[in-house]
Amino acid sequence: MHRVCEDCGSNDGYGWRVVEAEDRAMAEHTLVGQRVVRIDSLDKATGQSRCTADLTLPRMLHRRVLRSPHAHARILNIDTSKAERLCGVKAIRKAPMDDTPIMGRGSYMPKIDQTREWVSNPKGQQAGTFSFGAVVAEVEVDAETGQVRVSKVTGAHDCGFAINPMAVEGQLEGSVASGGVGATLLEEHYWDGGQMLNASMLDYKVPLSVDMPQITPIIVRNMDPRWPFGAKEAGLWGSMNMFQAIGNAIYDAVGVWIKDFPITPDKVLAALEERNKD
Amino acid sequence: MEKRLIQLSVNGDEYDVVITPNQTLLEVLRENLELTGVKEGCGEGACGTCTVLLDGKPVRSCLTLAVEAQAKQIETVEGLASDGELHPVQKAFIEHGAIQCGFCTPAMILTTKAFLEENPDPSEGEARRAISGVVCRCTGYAKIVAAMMATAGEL
Repeated sequence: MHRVCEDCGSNDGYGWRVVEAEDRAMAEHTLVGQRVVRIDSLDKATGQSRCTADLTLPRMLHRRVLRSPHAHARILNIDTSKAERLCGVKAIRKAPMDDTPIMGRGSYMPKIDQTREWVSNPKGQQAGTFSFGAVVAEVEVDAETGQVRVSKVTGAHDCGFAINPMAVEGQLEGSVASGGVGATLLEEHYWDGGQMLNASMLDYKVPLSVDMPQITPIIVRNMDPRWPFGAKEAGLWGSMNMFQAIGNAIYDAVGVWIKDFPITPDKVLAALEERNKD
Repeated sequence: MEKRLIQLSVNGDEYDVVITPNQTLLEVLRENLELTGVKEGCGEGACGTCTVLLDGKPVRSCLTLAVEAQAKQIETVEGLASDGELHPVQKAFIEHGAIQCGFCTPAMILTTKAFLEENPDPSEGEARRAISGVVCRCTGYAKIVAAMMATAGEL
């Protein structure tokens, strides 16, 4: 179970403390560190769990969006007087009718010295300790169409102590979908003056089961002495590393760097043409 | 719009429901029959989370009118377990950790059931293709496919 740490060498080094702390955590708790079934999965598998849209509470307000029954009609005026007289109607809102979307821009940066030493001064950090990960991606690039397919992903993640290894694996595999195939190859917002042009799942493509590679997640055992059960985080493994892994694999395959994400076929083809000119 | 009385057979039970003819099967299941195991994701047939079985075949209930489902057997995830005993597909999904946020789970389980009843011994590629109509945003599909392969041959 804690063989990973044995290579760390000296008895008073960090590796030894990992073994000790893991032993203690395992001895004190019967379920911590085991591949246990998540307690909420029974409700979810039988349709009993409730999402917010499934709830009906007493005195709860309900919202209905009414749209014009005429496709492409330009709405000049909406008469809401009838609706206002209905019993139980609390508020009516009309969407702007001059076709100008409401837009705003802003940014926020917390006042933290980014150059400070982070481990002893963690103020402002979302997580207590850094996690570390490494990813290897294998890709197939079709030089004629520019299509990239990720065929295999292997990666190791130091997530501290894995409280439920099965759940950790799920997080790692999930990040290959969202951060990996999704963000690196497929997903992009297209905007036109505050209007999102691909605001539907027909136009904004997220990875499907057939787009996903074979994934081998490796949990690197470690112990974070500062946090409950020694755990860190387990989601950013793929979200942070897949861009570089896939980008480098594409370079290895066809010899071009694509530095603009997502890496869509048109960008690959343009880069290949540019290279072939030289 | 004029209301209409229709009969629906859901999970083996007969229901008389008063609806307007433009109501989708999804709306009637969730709002009239309070079967909220069927979820509404995109509402335009792209994400597949509203999948239910109509005479054993997976359909998108957001693109199916309730009146079209008359005289057909409708199955939702709530009807899979019988006498407190989980369906093998449900059991495999739970045991393999194939459920994370749970929003796509009912659709994945129903699609798997329909697929494995038709193809009891699939390859992994066939299993992946079978669920390619349902979007999952958190599992990366790996454990879902593993649960499918583990149930293959059991149905």
